[in-house]
Amino acid sequence: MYKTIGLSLLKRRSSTSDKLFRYVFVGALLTGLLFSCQEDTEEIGALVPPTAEQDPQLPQITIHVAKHDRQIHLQTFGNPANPVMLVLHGGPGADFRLLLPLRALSDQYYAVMWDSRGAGLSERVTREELSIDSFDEEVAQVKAAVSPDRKVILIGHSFGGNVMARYTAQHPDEVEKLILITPGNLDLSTEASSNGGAVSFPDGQDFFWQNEILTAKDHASADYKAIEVLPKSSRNWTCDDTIIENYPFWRFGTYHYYLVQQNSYRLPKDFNWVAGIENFNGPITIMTGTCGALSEDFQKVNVNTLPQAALKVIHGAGHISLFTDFQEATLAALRTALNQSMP
Amino acid sequence: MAWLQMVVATGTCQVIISNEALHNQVFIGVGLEPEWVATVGYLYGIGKPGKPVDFQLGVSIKLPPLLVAQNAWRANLMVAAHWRMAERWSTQITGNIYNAHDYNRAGVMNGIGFEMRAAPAYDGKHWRKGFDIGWQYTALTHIRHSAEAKDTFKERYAGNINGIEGPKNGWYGATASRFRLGFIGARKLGDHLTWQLGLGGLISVQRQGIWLGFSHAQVPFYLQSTWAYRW
Repeated sequence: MYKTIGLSLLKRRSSTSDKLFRYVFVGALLTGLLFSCQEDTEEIGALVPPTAEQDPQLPQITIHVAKHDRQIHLQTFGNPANPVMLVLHGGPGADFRLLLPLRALSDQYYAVMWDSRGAGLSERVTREELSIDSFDEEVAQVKAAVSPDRKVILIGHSFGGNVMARYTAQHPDEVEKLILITPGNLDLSTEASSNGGAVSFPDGQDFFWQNEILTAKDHASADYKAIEVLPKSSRNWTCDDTIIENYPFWRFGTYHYYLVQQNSYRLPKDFNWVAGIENFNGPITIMTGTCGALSEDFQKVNVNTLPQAALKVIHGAGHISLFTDFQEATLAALRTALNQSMP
Repeated sequence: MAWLQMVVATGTCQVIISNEALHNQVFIGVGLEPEWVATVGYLYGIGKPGKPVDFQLGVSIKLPPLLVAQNAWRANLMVAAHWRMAERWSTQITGNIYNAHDYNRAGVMNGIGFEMRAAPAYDGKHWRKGFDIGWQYTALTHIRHSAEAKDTFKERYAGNINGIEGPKNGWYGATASRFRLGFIGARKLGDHLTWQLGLGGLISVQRQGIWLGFSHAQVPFYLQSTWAYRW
């Protein structure tokens, strides 16, 4: 019908002065055709992998945290009858793809890995839902879903280590063992700091240049832009200041990262992630490498905060390469830590 | 103040304000947006000078110097109008259609968009001072995803499920939108040369309302310095 109207309009307006009208009309038709062929950046699977609520085939559960039901990407490995091991990624905002080598432990343990709310392939959340306290609630909800009646082993990497440590301090009777892999500062009063994950000005150039073409206007666009910059954030996790090219991830939760950073800045200067952990009687291990930020020297500060913790150092490894180039050494160290009995 | 001129140094749309007839102008600029950018362009005056509104046509290219090796550039076709509103007040209005390109770890991006700018300015004794108001909109972008982007879709499912595939190469609509508000000042350095400094905010529109956040590439400041030579 539109075609008929268009042709009749073109035939009827035949004067020279109406040539401009024809050009405008044809131009509008071509523009309309072009726009009808375009895709939306938020279309499922267009730029980034869909999140759990968008893709029912993803392994997932629903949890109720911070007054909201949210679908989180969660995968289990091994026999549910084995000891349960909850594994939480870092970032903030990352996902558990980096930690997938730990599924090798499923020969003896029931390994449960998930992406935190708003991160990885879990459902995106609102600003109100990502308080520091909400992470404690999240771990409790996951435990209730997979191991309501048994104690669990907690393994947390980076920021996930802080979350797991805090959960253990607040729920010592729910946890059997705690393993922290290159966690952040557990006691802010120590003023230990690191530049882990920082992106240099030269490395950040393209991240900003992209704004000419693609701005972080929605979750999908923002998360897609992270594909370019996230590996560049790996430089200071290494000994030789190189980009880790084989940095595995599905989808970075940029909004999650932004909110948790904001909330972390607002924490009191003497905030202690492990306040109350003296009531926990199980073994604690802190694992780290010798390269880059959050490595051995930094973790010695955390060991001072947690005197009952054993420090396990993997030489030559860094924050990320513990799970890539050094995954065999990491798995061996984890098995040793998991076999550790009560102190 | 007839000698005092201004280059609206935007890195992309650049125009001279002058009460004199404009014929030819070349300009070069450097800036932080917050990435390093460099711009070079040419403008040609059209129509009879001396009317309340003068027009110019031109072209320019904007390059991020640290990213040239990865084929990052933006080419602009420019139309500019200089409107003399009062003895000491005038406004530059510029519009350009651009093609911006980037090749990075995520893929190859080629965007087509337009940018509108307005710069109402006042002739002072030594400086010409004004505002820089603008809106940039990338209407259509073609993305060809990299192997790294495709890799993010792997290993997501348990077992042998063939789930949602991606990412999708093709044209995407309305991929970028930015607003700009700043201050500009220009000073004549000779009979033919003008220098201008611009400083302001450059804000991407995004749903979560983040005004300053590295994670969203939202560092909303720009600083630009531009030299223009006309004859």
